[in-house]
Amino acid sequence: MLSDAEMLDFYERSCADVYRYASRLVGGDRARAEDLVQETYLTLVRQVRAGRAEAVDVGWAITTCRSRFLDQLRRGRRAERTAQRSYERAPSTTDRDPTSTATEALIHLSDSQRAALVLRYVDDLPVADVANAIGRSVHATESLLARARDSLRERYTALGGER
Amino acid sequence: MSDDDVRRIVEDAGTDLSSAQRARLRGGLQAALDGETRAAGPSPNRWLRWGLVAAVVVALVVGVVVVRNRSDDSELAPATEPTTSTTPQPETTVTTPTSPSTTVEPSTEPSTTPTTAAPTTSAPPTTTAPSTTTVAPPAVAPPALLLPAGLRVVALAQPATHVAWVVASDPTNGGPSMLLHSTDDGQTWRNVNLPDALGDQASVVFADARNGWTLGANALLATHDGGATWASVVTSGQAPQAVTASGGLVHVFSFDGGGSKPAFKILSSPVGTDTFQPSGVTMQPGAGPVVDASVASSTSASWLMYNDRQLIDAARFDGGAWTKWMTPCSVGGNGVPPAESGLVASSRDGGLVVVCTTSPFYSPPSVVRVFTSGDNGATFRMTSPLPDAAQTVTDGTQAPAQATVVVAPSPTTMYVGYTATDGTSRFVVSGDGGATWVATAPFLAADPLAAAFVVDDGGVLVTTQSQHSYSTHDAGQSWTDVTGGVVVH
Repeated sequence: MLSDAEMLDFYERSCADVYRYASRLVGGDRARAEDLVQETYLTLVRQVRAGRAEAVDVGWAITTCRSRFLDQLRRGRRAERTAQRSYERAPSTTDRDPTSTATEALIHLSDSQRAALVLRYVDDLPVADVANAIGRSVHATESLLARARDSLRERYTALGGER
Repeated sequence: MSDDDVRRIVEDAGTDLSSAQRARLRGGLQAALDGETRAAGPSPNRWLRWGLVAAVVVALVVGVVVVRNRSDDSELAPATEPTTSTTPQPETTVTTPTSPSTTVEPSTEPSTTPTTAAPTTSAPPTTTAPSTTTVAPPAVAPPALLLPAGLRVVALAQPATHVAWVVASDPTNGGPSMLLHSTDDGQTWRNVNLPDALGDQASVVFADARNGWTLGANALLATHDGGATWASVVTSGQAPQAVTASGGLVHVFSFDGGGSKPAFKILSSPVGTDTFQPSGVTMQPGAGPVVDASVASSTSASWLMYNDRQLIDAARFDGGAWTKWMTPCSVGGNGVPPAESGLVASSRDGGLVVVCTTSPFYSPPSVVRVFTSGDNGATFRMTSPLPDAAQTVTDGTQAPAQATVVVAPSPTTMYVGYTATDGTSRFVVSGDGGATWVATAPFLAADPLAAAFVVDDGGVLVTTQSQHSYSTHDAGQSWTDVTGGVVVH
C-alpha cells in the first residue's frame, strides 16, 4: 500500500503531465482542468485507503483523468458554454506561441470533438477504442473525428497557425 | 491538413500548471490524506455544488420537501456565478463525484392505476401520476453504480462494496458476451479472461465476495478467489442454463445429455467446493429449441421456472431440498387455458413474485398476470391487472403483450417490464404489493428495456437496448442516467 509520502511524491512527479493532458481535454479551461486533476488524485487516495492500492504511474493518472472527463461528457454535466467563459486567453493576439494558438483552436471544438481528438491523437487509441470510450458507434466516431479535424484546421488557420 | 498536423496541434495544445495551481492542488491532496474528506481550493463551481449539497442536507434534516428543478440539466451545478457565502460541506467519502447528473423526467401521463384498485395513500407509488416532488435528492443518495457505456448489460452481481460484475455485449458489432469487473463502483471496467466463451444464457452470480459463477458456452465457470481466477466446473455431459445461490449453496440448472434419457437436472454444491450433486428433480425437455430458465433466490430459498416455448416445469428449494413446484402459471393442455411462460423474482427476504404471460406460440389474446406469495411459493395472490396487458388483438397494429422482466426489491415493491398490447415497452412499479401499478421510466418508450436489476443500495437499475442505464431510488419517481463506466484495456 502506498504511504502518504509516496502519494505526495507521486503527485509532485506526475501532476504537470496530468494537468497538461486535462487542459487539452477541456480546451484550456483552467478551472475544469484543475477539477479533473483534483479528482484524479482523490481517486488515488480513495483506492489506497480502500486497500486497493495499485502500482500507479503517470499512465494510470492520465487514464483516470480521462475517465473522469468522459464521465462528465456523457452526463452532460458541464455545459460547453463554460469553456468559452472561463478560458484564460493568451494576453496578446500578436505574439501567440504555438501552444496558445493550438489551445485556442481546440477550445472552439465541442467537448466530444475534443475528446475524440485527444483520445485518437494523444493517446493513440484506435478509432474503435475511441468509440467505445465515448459511447458511440465506430461509424459515428469516424464522422465526429472528421468534423473535429475540419473544425480544428479551419480555426487553427484563421488564428495564423502554421502547419 | 494531415493526421500528423492534427496530432501536432493537439499535442501542442493545453496550458501548463501554474505554481499557484500546483500548490493549491497539493494542499487539497494533503487535506484528503489528513482525513479531510474534500480538498481545499476547489474551483468555483465545486464550491457552489458543496453549498447546495449543504443546503439540501439541512433541508432534509428539518423535513423540508425539496422540489426538484425540472428545467435544469444538472441538479447541483447550475451555470450561475459562484456564491461566496456557503461553506464547503464535508462529504463522507473522497470519491470522485458519481452523483447523478442527468435526471429523467417522470412520466407525465395520467395515472395507470386500474380503476378497480383501491386507492392508496401510503407507500409510493401513489394513485396519482408521479410528481416532481421528492424527499430523497440524489445529491445525498448513496454513490450510484455506473454501468459501462456502449455495452448492453444483461446480468449484474455486486458481491462487495464498490465491486460489481456484469455480463455485457456490444450490439453494434455483434460481438460476443463478455464478463466485466469493476472495483470502483463502475467508474472503470475491465474485461475478464475466462477459460471458456460465455454462453447464450447470460448470468453472473456471487454468493459472497470470493465465490462466484457465470455460464460458459460449455461449462459452468467458477471463481473462489474473488474473480482473480476462473475455472470450468460441471463439465461432464452438462450444459448449464441457469445458476443461482442462496443459503451457502449454489444451484445449477443444467441439461444432461450424457445418459440414455436426456433431461434437465438441478445440481447443487456448497459455494466453495465445486462438489455438485444432482437433486431428485428431473425435467423433461420441452418442445422447442428456445430454453429460457428464470431463477430467483432469497437468503434461504430458490425458485426455478423452466420455459421452452411455454412453461414446462418448475421447482423450488425450500427446507433443504429441491421439489417440484406448482406455480400459478398454466402449462396448458387438456382443455386448460392457453399455456403460459413464467418469470420469477424474489427479494432477499423472500417476497416472491411470479409473472405469467400467455405463450407467444398461442393465438391472442395475450395476458400478463402477476402473482405474489408470502410463503415461499406455497400459495399465491393475483395482483391488480397491469395496464394494457390484456387485450384482444384487433388489427395489425397490435401485438400480444409479453412480460420480459420482473424484479422485487422488497416484499411489497415490484417492477414488471413488458411489451404492452399497443407495442410500447412498459415498465411499471407497485409499492403496495400489487394493489396499484404506476408506469415509470418513460424513456423506455423510445429505447426499449433490456434488463433490470435490484442494486445493493436498495435502488433499481434498468438497461436499454441502446446501451443506456438508469437507476431509481424513489420507486421510479425519478431516474438517473448511470451510463458512465469506462472500459479500460
